[in-house]
Amino acid sequence: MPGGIAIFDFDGDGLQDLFVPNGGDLPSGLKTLAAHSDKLFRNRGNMRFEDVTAKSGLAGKHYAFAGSVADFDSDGRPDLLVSHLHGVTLYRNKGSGFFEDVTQQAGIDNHNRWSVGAAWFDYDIDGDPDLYITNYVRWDAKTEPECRTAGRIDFCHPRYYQPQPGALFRNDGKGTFTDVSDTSGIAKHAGKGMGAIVADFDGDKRPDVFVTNDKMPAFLFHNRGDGTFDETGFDTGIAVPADGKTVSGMGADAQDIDGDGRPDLIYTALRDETFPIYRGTAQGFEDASAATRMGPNSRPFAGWGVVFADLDNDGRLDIAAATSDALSGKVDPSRAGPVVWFRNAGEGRFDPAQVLAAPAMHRGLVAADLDKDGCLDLVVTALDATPKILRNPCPNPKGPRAPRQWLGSTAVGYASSVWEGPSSSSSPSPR
Amino acid sequence: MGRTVLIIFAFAALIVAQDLSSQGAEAMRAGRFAEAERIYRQLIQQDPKDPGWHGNLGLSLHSQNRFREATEALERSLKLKPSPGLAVVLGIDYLKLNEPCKAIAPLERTDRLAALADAFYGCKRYPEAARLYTKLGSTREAARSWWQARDYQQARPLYEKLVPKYQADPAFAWEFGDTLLRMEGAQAAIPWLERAVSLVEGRAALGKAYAETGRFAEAIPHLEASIKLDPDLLLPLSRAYKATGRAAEADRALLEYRKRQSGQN
Repeated sequence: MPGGIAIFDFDGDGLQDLFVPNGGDLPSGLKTLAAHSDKLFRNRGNMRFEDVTAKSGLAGKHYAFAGSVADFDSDGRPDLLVSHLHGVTLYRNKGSGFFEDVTQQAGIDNHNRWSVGAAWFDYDIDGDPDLYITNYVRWDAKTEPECRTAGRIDFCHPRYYQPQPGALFRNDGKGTFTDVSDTSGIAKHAGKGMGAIVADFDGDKRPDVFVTNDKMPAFLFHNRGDGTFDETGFDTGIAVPADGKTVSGMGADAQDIDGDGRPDLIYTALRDETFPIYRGTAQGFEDASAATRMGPNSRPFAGWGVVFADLDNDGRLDIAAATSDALSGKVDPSRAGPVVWFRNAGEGRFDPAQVLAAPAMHRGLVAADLDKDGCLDLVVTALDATPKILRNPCPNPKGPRAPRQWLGSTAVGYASSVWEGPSSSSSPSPR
Repeated sequence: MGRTVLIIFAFAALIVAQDLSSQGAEAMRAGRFAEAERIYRQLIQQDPKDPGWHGNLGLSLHSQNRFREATEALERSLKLKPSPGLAVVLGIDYLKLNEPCKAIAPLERTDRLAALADAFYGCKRYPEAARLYTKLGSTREAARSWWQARDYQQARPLYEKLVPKYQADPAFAWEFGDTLLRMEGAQAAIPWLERAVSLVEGRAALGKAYAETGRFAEAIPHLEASIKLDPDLLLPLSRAYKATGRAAEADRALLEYRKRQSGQN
């Protein structure tokens, strides 16, 4: 499974269900086999899940990377946007477990660009969710170069591909959208977009968008409140880590980890690049990789999906990440990595990684309380493997607990086919 | 009658070949490699499928330091018939030609592990090099290979073992300091990086380490001296200028950094 997992209660029964995007044939980028189907799993309670894809209409047609959820038509039912190799598909939740492809009628056209993720947010504060789409590089199978590392075939460095801008669609409130990528200023900034996270980073009560780029400086789109955005990555100190080395930015998350009321931010990158972590300050961002110990702690890992989540209910946000190296053509066991947990030790520091799941080609990761026991569980995806649920044993849901063994993973019961595209939680990756 | 003539010709050719072969061997023994080369070329013309003539031609070229031509002859010979002895020469010649990746396949067929380890290292297959150096007891090379592989967890204990022997060596101090910088952070690394300032790489790492610990004034001269080696240091340099009240220089450094970044993408 490539992996930009979406967790949402699509049927309104109070339990979190799972949408898991899936790959397809290459180079066509189309789903040509039943095994390529994207999947919707209904949570039946007690950690039992039922595959309801066939009925839902969410099987998909394109090599998919991520799902993003919002009730765009304000009918009380969460809808789903799927990012894929040829753009995006918007599905309206019609109720009773049915979804309908409304991409065209909603006016969403990503111009066949390779999208790996999206973020819904109300940038114009008019009460309905607007849509930011993260686009990766321009890719054409016909011009795909053959790349080698140490004489052996390997993935191609992002520098071999042209960047492209993200897209912004304003929700018109009638089930339709207007493409405001140009007028908002978003289209001026071509990147190699991966993860997108929305938060009010500067405390002006307007949501901003942070976008990781693959081996390029990250973007922070500051919402000016007049329908336009400034790119302020360098001005705020978050474009690149403090040593000036650009990294392969992948998944990202933003939460207030130090309780100062400002969102802090982490994103994953490849082995030896570390997972840069920043503290939000009144003047912008400060690279906190050294102070938090996350620099040394994360250096041995290549990360994809990442979340800030209080996994041990001690009131402090920990960090969990899906890891494995970038892909070189086919799934290679020597590049597998574990799911890791960096426990927040307090006083602004994180403990070294503890392994929550054995190595696989992990990509996507999300945290949610799937069994409603008061503790956050994790859902992870890996290439060439079924998605897994890591159930939090949760001995004391109301208070702090010592680190403990997590229960064995539960495969979300179906056989996957060959998956070659990776991804991360907020946004998947093509490598 | 015709058959008898053919046999006589074949017999005569064999005698000539044997004669030439002896002359070639004699020339090789006497160190007359150009003469040996000429003879083996002649023999190859007579019998292009004999691996021995190609192999000997390769050896005569190798002895004249004509490694490119030697590798071509040796490759032809090894294609016709495997020979561990010739594979060693072929591997060594590729190493001499600075083509370590090509040296690996022939050397893997021999027992020359040190040369193979060098080939892995040169080909940037560092983990394989490190394992082989470890097997050979070459701890210094193994440590450097793990460091190059960016596997600092493997490198660190080896460096620690080597401290008594190499503590005065700036290259060692840089590698060990860099390992500590990545695994432990700047405080642990600075004492070692301070011993590596004679190397521009050491200065670069020391500048970064000082900046990481907020010692911006101390970082500046080292960062300035290392910009040519690593232009990315313009960013921490800009930060250091800013922190020490040199706002105009900070802006210039940041502008230059951004210009370089946009040029790369």
